[in-house]
Amino acid sequence: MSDAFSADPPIVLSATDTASERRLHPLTLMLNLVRQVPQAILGLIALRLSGPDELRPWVGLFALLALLAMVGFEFYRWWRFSYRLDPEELRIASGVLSRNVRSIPYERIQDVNLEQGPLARLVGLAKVRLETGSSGSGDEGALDSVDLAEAERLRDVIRLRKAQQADGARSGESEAGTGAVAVPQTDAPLLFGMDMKRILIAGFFNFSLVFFAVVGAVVNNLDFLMPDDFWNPRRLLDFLGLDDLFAALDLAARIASVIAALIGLVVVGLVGGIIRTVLREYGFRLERTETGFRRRRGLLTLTDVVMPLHRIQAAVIATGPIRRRFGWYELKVQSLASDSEKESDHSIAPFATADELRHVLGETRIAWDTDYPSMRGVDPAMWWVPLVFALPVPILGLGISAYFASPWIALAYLALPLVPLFSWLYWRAHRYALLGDQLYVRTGFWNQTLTLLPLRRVQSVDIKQSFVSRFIGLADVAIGVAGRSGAVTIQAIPLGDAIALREELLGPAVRNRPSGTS
Amino acid sequence: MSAGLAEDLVFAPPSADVLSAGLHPLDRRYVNVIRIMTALVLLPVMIAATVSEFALVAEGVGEHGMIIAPALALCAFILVFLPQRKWKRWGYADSDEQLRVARGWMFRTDTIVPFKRIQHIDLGEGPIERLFGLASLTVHTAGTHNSIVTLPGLARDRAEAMRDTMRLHIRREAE
Repeated sequence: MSDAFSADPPIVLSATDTASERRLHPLTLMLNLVRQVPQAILGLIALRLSGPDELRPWVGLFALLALLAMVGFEFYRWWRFSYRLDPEELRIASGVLSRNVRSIPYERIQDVNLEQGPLARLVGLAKVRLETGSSGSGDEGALDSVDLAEAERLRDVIRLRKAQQADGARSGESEAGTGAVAVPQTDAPLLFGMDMKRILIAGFFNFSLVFFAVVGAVVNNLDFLMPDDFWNPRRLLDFLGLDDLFAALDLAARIASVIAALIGLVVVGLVGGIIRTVLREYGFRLERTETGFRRRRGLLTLTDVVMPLHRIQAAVIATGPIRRRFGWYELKVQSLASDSEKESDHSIAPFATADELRHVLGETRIAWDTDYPSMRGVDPAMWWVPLVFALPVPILGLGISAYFASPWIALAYLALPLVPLFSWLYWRAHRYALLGDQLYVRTGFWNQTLTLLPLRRVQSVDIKQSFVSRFIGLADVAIGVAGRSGAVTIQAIPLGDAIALREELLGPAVRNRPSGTS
Repeated sequence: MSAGLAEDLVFAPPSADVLSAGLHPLDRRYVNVIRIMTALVLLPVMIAATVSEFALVAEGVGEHGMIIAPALALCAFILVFLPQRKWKRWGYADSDEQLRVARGWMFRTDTIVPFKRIQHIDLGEGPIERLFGLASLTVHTAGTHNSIVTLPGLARDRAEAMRDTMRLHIRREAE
């Protein structure tokens, strides 16, 4: 099951059969339709329940018409979508109303990623995503879906053509269109893998209340099915038949039931985290290929992602206060491509020990040569200055509402010390270091991230000062990096340090200038 | 805004603290560009003030001049003093194979983009800028943060010269 993507024996492809126009696999039609079924059913239910009375007998007819229209449209769209492997480029023609033919030169295709959803796996299809250099979302070239053999063939042909183009530039294109060429396919060495035990431990640390979010979303969408005052606690107890029971309980029992509910919450959170982690990380394999990393994972949705080494801009080591106690870290790399719609960073070792992580990092040109004590802290103003501005508001607000509304509100003052505490913890966690040709920036107390940024990847540097930080002589340094959602920021360091740091950061980009103007 | 207005009337070079050392000011004419752009923003405010005043007076509430006069005074104040202040907060430098753009006072940002990291350059002329013979230079980097850095208020030939210098340094990123 997990080795659907495993390497086949070396395949042979003839150059003649690659230049024909091809369509997506016909079963794609079925997949697309099935994907729309839940929506359609919800729509029908809504129509049945909330539409005008006269329309009700016609719902069946509407459903039939809608289904026919959907099938017709999907079929037409499928019919109009085709792709072709030309000698120089991949052409994708698409569009129902307006036609669009996209040409992607092979040399621009960074690599080919495969993705298989649960349904697609049942029928043996895969989505092929082409990573090009453009920084937009991953769908600049996607074939959704072709059968697995075709997907593997596409990947091989594209790699081969890419290689040929690179060779052709040197040896005068001797190989173009000459019969069969064998694709070298060696099994790449495994860099990092996770067995079931590791994945379960990872899930344990991945406490997630996403289950409640899902239930909440479903409930929200099915609102029209419920009575209006469904969420009224009394009404809810009544509905569940617990009303009398709850009334009979004494205070101690009530407290006990609240504690039980909290424990239940924790259990659900743990189980939710484990399920989510298993779904995503099942069968995790990170391999070293000639050009970079190849990662395969997933229980229901299988993904097969390739990351060329030369496109890696920075690495991020993420952990948390508890995970760090047990020695667990996650390693992510930032490149111009994004991992999926949700995440921009590629997680290449989701749950690893420091040694495993160094082993993987060793393949990149990024080092991890620092630890917390050897890094420089930032000015304490980082934690107390915001408080001066932020705290008076809740203090006054609480006082006023306690005075006018209910003295019980004053209890909220007990929570106020948490604000400076967290602020202080975040300040303590924020550190930086400049070692060799690499910048290290550590941020976050609960989600600790350590960014490893090679100076050759620095795109721009800002020094920022607000009117407050100017007054106390501090500044922030913000560094632009390609393919990262925000800047790498160092907060609250003395202005002189900031200016000196900027010089260092820009060194590699400005050094080796033609004549030394200093 | 209240303190130190008098000193702002003088066209001093950008403030001489540590951070702003070595910055060139923008072209003097850019003050007028800012002034016209501010006026365009203030125009709807004046219109709204006029309309509401006439409506209120028609209702028999208050007298003419009660909204227009203060609004006019405020706008005039802003138009007289703000543009110079804003202009003064800008600064740039293009030596050492890097473009440096500093802007803002309340929240000051001082950006450096090495010429080598520039992906492409835009030379833009808005209608108001063209009126004064000015242009703005926009450089694009591969970074997501600071992917676009704009330097407005340059004399046209100066902007062209800067663009030509930078263009020499744009190379294909080494892979």
